[in-house]
Amino acid sequence: MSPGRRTLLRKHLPDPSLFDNGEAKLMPALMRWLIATGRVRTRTAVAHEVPWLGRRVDLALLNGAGVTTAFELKIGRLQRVIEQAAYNKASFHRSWIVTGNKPKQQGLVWARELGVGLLVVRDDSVSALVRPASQEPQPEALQRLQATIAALVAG
Amino acid sequence: MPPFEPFSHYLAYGATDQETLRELRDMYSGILVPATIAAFQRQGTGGFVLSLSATDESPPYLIDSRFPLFQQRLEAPKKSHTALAELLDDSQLVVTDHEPNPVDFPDERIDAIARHWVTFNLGYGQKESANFDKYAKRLGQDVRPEEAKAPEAILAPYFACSDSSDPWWQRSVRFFESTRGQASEVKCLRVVCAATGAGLGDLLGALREPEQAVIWVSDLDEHNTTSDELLSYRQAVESATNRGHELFALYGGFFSVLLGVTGLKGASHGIGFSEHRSWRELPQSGAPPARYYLRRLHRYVVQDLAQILYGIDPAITECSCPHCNGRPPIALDYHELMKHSVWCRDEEIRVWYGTDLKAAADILRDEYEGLTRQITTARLVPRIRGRALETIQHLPEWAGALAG
Repeated sequence: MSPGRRTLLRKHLPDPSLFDNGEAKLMPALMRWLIATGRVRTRTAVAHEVPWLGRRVDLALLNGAGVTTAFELKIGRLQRVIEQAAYNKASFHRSWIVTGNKPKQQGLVWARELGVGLLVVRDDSVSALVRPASQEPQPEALQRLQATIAALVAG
Repeated sequence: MPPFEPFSHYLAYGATDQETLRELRDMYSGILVPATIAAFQRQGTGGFVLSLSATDESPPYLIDSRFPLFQQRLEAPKKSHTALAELLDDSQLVVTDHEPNPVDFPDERIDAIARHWVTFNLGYGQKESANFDKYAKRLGQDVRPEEAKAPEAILAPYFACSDSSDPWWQRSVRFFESTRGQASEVKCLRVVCAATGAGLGDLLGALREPEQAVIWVSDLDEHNTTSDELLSYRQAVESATNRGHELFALYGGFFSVLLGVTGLKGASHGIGFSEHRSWRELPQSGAPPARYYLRRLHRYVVQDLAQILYGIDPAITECSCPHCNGRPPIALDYHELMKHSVWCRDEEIRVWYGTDLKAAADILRDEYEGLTRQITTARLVPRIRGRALETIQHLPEWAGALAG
């Protein structure tokens, strides 16, 4: 990993031990993957537990070009997280599900059909089983979402 | 418009709703001010409500004592609870260590509370106007403090009761009589708060003379109750109306509008929420959640789900209000959601008030069947389909209660 990416990792994952409960256990490996694949860069705003439309999005990214990406994390059955990822499609450019288990066939079918990405985290390795389709979010919802993420990151 | 001129549409005041109340003055009939807010945010609430009452539209207002708050143990009393108790000059109203009993409210105590309540109501038009100018400026109208109005009537304090054999009922009766006696010439209204629809019928049956009364069936969630319970409510309203009573519902949604044809004169609700409430939940408070009022379903749904329904067919969420302005549900921000909801209720009253019950039932059944078909044939994630179907389950229940 380059020094620049190491700095980014320290910024967004200062203490991996903070993510030791439930779905949050997937976060350290996910963050390393996001940085290693260039999805999180210097100008990317990274916000956890983003309050959005009366629920919380586990992880939201806002890049320098204004593109938004949602990640919903789940260990175990995927039904609930597929629902959330489907909702995210209306306001994010890309929507991902991140799971700690190999999904059943039905989960893969729904992810493909919805155009939702599917990442599997096992130990420290991350595999992208389905790539998300890129969509155009509803413009006013996108504007509010961008402002929400930016405000959270600004603290 | 006074609460008994059908179909009157009152909005409960909340500090977060000022913009909607100010801008949509022609979309509602009056304001219901919770006494907890009137007591705690005294200057702000007074300034806002009184400046609004001095406008050309001059919406009438009533102050609800929220008295069942003190009919229960308050484990963690809020400042608004103690402020109201202080306003009533009875700090012992806030009980933290046991459930209060009817015997805790002897006649003398009730009379003293009623006296302070009447004094507060009678003086409200003048004494609570310290912030009048601040709120008057926001109205964009030349309004003067001397044009501020007093409450439309005094809502007597009351207790929640199961039926007329409940010892709380006699205490509630005393509250009304004492308040009415001390209000002298000023109009005073009884609030009948029942645990069930049947209980409401029984309590209203105990009133000897025809009167105008405010009713509340605790936790009567129009969207999550059976047609039998809704039918009990309807029958209680019909029966009381036939005996000459005029009723206004302290809480109510679209089903209450439909009951207009059976005699219900009006209903109140919060902006964006609170179409029903359990008296046990009075201690809780907070701003309304951001939800989309779906006209065809006559209910609030989360924006995510409304957007999915829009994706199935934009006609499901179609709305001609100026706040939606042809946009999908997810486009609306918080205040637009609130204004849209008030606009929708106003439209519902204009379109549906007076509709024959059987005709209304037929329309709701047809709507249910059509929506069921659309939802079940759309390609949806199973959980989303389940949620979508859940949101329309009230329609056949309503139809059953109306046709029963």
